[in-house]
Amino acid sequence: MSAVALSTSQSTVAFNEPLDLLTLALDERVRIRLRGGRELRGRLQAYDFHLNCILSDVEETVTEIIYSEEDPTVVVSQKTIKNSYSLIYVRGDSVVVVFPQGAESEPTGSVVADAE
Amino acid sequence: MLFYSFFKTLVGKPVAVELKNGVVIRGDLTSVDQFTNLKLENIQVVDDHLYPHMSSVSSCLIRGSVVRYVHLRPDDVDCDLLQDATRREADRHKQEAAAAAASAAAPSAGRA
Amino acid sequence: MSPEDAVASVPLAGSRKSPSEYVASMRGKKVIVKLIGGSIFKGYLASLDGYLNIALEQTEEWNSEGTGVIGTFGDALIRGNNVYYISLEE
Repeated sequence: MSAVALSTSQSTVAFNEPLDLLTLALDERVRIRLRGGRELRGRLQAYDFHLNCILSDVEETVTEIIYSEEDPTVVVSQKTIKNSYSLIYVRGDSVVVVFPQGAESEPTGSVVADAE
Repeated sequence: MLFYSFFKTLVGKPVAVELKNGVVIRGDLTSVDQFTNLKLENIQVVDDHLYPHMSSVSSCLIRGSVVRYVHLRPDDVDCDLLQDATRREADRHKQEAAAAAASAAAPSAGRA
Repeated sequence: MSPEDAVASVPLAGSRKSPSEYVASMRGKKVIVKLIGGSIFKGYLASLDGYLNIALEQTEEWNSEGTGVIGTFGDALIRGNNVYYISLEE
């Protein structure tokens, strides 16, 4: 039974992995959220399975949130800094979420039909 | 291995490495290993008045895991080549995963 | 009874599913993914792998209290190491 489950799931594992999203996003603009309140927007030039990336025409947004000393849940102030870089390598261990921008306007929901 | 190969092509070129603690080190890349540890020479720390203890250091080895970004010069990088290499690496990785899944499935099929 | 059999005999959500079978059965369903940073994403589970890297479609980002949507995205790829939990939306 487990062999059946494995061999049926094998094709989906082999042809539908999360990282396939990035194959489609190559040479497209992506938005990458990083640890430490950083966000990058740029064109994806390379990646590997650690999510190490190379991006071109990058805009970085750093959001610094300063919390109250008495109550650390209260936000005292928030400031954002923007930087731009022509080409950077990003170490994958800082990556939290990747949003491919090209797919944003595409109709979605195909996955629901596939599951039936 | 993609980024190991990539950084090998940058040996001898100037780079700026931004660490996870915010320090930015400029220098010439002299060597790289499979963990993307980076060895730099002729280094200079950006905003070195903030980190005066680094001002007398001229070369260093940066552990790959503490790197946040490496700032690159576009002229040093062939982006088309990078995209092709990325697709090849993704295909190779996928074939290896499929082979591993097949060999994992085979013994349990024998048991059943 | 071996330890493996003992674990396997514990009913998980009313059926005998391993954790990986359980998450695989969520494909195509609407799921909630909470990250260790506190942010919450909801969307249709397009795919996931053994590292718990997750691809979502029709993604919504919710505030950390789970009371309101703060952003919508098309597809999203979540790096597995940041995942706190993944759950089916009721």
